[in-house]
Amino acid sequence: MIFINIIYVRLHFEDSCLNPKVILRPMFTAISMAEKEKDLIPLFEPDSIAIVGASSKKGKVGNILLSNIVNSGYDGVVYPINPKGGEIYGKEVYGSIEELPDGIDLGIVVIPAKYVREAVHKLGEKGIKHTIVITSGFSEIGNTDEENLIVEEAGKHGMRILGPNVFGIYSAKAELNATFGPSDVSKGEIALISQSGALGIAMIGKTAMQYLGLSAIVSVGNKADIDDMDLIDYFADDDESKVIMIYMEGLENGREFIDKVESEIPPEKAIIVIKAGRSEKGATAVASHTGSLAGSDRVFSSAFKQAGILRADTINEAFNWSRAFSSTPLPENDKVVVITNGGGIGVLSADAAEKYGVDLLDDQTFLKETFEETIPPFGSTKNPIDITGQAGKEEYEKALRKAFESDEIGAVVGLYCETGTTDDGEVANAVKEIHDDFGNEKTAVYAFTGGEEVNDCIQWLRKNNISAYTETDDAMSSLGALYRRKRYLDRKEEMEDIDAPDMDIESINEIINRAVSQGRVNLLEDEARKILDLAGIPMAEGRVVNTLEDAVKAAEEIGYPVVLKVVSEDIMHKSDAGGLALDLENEKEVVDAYQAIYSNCKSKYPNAHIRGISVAEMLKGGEETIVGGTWDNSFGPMVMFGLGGVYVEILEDVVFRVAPISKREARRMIGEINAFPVLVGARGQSRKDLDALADIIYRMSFLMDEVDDISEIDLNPIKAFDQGKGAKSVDVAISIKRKVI
Amino acid sequence: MKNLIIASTRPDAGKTTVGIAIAMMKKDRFNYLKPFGDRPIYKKKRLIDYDAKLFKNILNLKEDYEKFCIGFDHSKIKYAYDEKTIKEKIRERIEEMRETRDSVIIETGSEWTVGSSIHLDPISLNQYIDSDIVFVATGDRTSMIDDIHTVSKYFDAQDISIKGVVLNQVESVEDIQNFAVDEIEGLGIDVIGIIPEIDELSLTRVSFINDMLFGKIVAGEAGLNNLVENVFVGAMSAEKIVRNPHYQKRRKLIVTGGDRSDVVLASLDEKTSAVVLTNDIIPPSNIISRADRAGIPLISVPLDTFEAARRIERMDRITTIEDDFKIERIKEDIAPKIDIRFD
Repeated sequence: MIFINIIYVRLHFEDSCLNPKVILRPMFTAISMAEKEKDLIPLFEPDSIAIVGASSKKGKVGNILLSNIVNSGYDGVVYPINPKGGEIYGKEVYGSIEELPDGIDLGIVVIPAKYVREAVHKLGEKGIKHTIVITSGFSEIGNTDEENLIVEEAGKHGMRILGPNVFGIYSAKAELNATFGPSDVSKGEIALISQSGALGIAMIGKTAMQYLGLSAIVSVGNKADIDDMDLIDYFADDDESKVIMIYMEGLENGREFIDKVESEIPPEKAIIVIKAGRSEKGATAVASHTGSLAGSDRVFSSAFKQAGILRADTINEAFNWSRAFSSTPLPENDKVVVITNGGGIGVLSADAAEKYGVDLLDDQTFLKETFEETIPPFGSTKNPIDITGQAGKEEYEKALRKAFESDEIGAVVGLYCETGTTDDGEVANAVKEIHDDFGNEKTAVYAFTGGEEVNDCIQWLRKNNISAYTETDDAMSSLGALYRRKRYLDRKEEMEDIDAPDMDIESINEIINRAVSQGRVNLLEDEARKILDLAGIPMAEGRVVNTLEDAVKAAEEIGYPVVLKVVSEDIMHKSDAGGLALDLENEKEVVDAYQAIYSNCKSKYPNAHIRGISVAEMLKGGEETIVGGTWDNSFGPMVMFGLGGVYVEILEDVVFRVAPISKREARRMIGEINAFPVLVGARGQSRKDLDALADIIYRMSFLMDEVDDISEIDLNPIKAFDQGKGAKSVDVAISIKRKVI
Repeated sequence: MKNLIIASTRPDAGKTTVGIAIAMMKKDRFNYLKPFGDRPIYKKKRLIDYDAKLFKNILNLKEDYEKFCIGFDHSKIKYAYDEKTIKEKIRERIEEMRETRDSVIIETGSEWTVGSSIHLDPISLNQYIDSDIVFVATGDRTSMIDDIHTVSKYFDAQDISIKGVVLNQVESVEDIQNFAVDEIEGLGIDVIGIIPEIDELSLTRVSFINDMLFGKIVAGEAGLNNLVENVFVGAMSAEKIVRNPHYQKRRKLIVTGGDRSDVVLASLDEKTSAVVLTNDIIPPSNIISRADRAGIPLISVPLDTFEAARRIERMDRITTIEDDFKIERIKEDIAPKIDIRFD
């Protein structure tokens, strides 16, 4: 038995005093000598199931569960267990677990919390390798100890636990509905993983209403054992699941999650996440700009994007995208044609295309040649192709056929507006006939706008596995998601191996260890400068001095103009403390600034330890950017890039990546900020040295990844000069991780 | 007329205030020098002293601001001068100033020992400039007497006479007259003025507080000249705040988190001079508009509430050139209480 315990010291304010409270928390429970069952196939494709807590009472979870299993078409063997015995839904009820035969694949426990551990033990004795604990009342209400003991007990038998606090699983492969949710579930290609029980059940109902077919539904609950990682492993190999939709509220091992997604999920599958709960920035004070900008939700978005995970803002959005991924292929190219019978929705679709990053085909000659004969004289071949309000089945079929036949066209968006003169059903039929003829060769999404009959058409198309939506925006949003996936896969193909830059990590660690030994969490300027130098990150020339004489001498050696800054681990934001003087052009200005800085800092921070004054070259010109590094509790080291300067936290024009990254990826980051046009030369400004910036970001990412003790790094601003003239950091602030005792 | 050195027994004794009062007795005859600046303003790469700026304005002096101070930090004085050259510099500066005025009021450091190592303390100055020394003392009766005794012993040992002492910011003039004056005069030092505490002189302008905190004005610029008499930290619920008696005082400065919209909103009344918003958090735009309309400055600072309040509390309640009302009070209420003969 191996126990791994971590001791936390939690600090509480009580009676205005800070009191430590030691908490002993087993982070990993017993890893028994028996190998833990990794294969989840018996969970989703069991040949036999034992239900501990089956009930004959209608309305009870144990009853609904059994009813769903029996009525879902499951043809495996079901063993209900209840001390009262008897028969429920035609199944013989066993009085105890001991009475069960050996060799059962799956156990489901739905009994009061205090009996669960015993039940798990007995199921283990019977050789059951997977158990779903539906019962709640464990870590979600603070009863973590009991939950850990259950997992420990299971571990002794090499058993895996799903839950506790789950609603069960649905598996289309096994035709098994082992949930206490709705009984009506359509079969399909979408695997749904939910961290929320109630929402998960509600989503089952919603998918049925919207004709979204599911390959599996699984509720992860408290994730005491089986977690997202295990399920990703399973669904990555499951040929029935084309889309993995996850509703999550938290993700402890974010790094592991995205690594697994990047390595295990095949290109033809997509992961769509609805991530709820915008978390707070944390109780500890965040000293750096990078740290304060790296709110957890922003980090999640960046990390997911980096791993090709699509993040939906709402359940509807996730459903819309899932529909597209499960019923239409990824586009072959970027050229999209919209076919519409209404100018209005055509315009809306053009707006939506721009919003979702979908490029409409612009080659007027080609469009005219291809579609001229499909439109009446008063129609339009300018994309959107307007086949006009008179268009019926024939016109739609003609136009769609042309689009489907053309290899030039990567994707088709078909829009229909109810007109009153056209038979809606006929138009829907036209669409279906095209899909019958062409199969699944062309990416296509549709939006039908109208009343009840139009709605019926949409449902009918959906039942025939065609991506049809009630709103143009939904159709375009889904197409946009397909394109994002495609672009991610294209990028992944191009991705070179990431070569680590040449950095003297050992020397960097020595500097940090020295600071740690002195009880500091913030490095001094000369220490931080040295680290940048060792990491190959260019910085404005400078040095730290302790006398006015040396300040003047340094200014003269560096060359005017210079900048003077206070150096003190107790003063983080120098300009706010009056500890910064810019653009000093001669000795007198240096002398005055030196006095002013000391005076200001001594009066604002009388207890600050002032180590000296930094004299540095004043970098004129260039565009101010910020490059930062931060440690995220879930994803580990992160790198940030954005528009810099003193207003960085107000404008928040920044992007993140999980470190380390390649130079090419760093270059991509630069292209993602809103202010990118400024860097490439907007309004007559010259283009800035983006390669130099990318190199700094790339090196920063490695610095964060390889030096474990760094908590945050801020290089703000980094001046990006004209192309070929490089980029340099003006200032640096490095914080070390606080060690928990 | 002899130059007049004004020194103080301890910091914040009111040396500048007494200096103004004396200067105003013969406004067109005095120039001003503060060799060792201690109230620096650093703007646009220029370093000048608040008090120097004030005297230049009151006495209508023509010299550039930089002429009134030699340095602000020991390091600067030691860098630029040695014992011989600093004395030469001071003499030279005094000579220049006496070309336009009869005499120079020389304000020394925050207390009489400041500047000793660089020969800018009152004793050193007196030894190389033709001058009289006036001391300003403050504190309770016993501490004032102790301070004056110490000064007297030291000055006697140096064989330097003190022209007189002004007892400033006293709680009870009568008490001092009855119990302190005789003892002080028994040391051979004339008590040339007893000045009571004047509340108005401790008022501060919002603009000054903003400058000292390096704040950013988010709204209500029209109210930057508002005076602050009381400081209130708004850390509890808005309901409790409005019921607190200290909150009812006028000319109050509220210090609260920028995210405390409830407190900020409750503070926008005629008794509030300004609101300091801490932690760099800006309130919603509707609150900003209301503050603008009410003419109540909202000042955003990156400090936490405790630190902001602490700094405001520790701020010197100095007189600046915008404080006409203070200068008028000094002229009307303090100057007449000082009985000094000019030689």
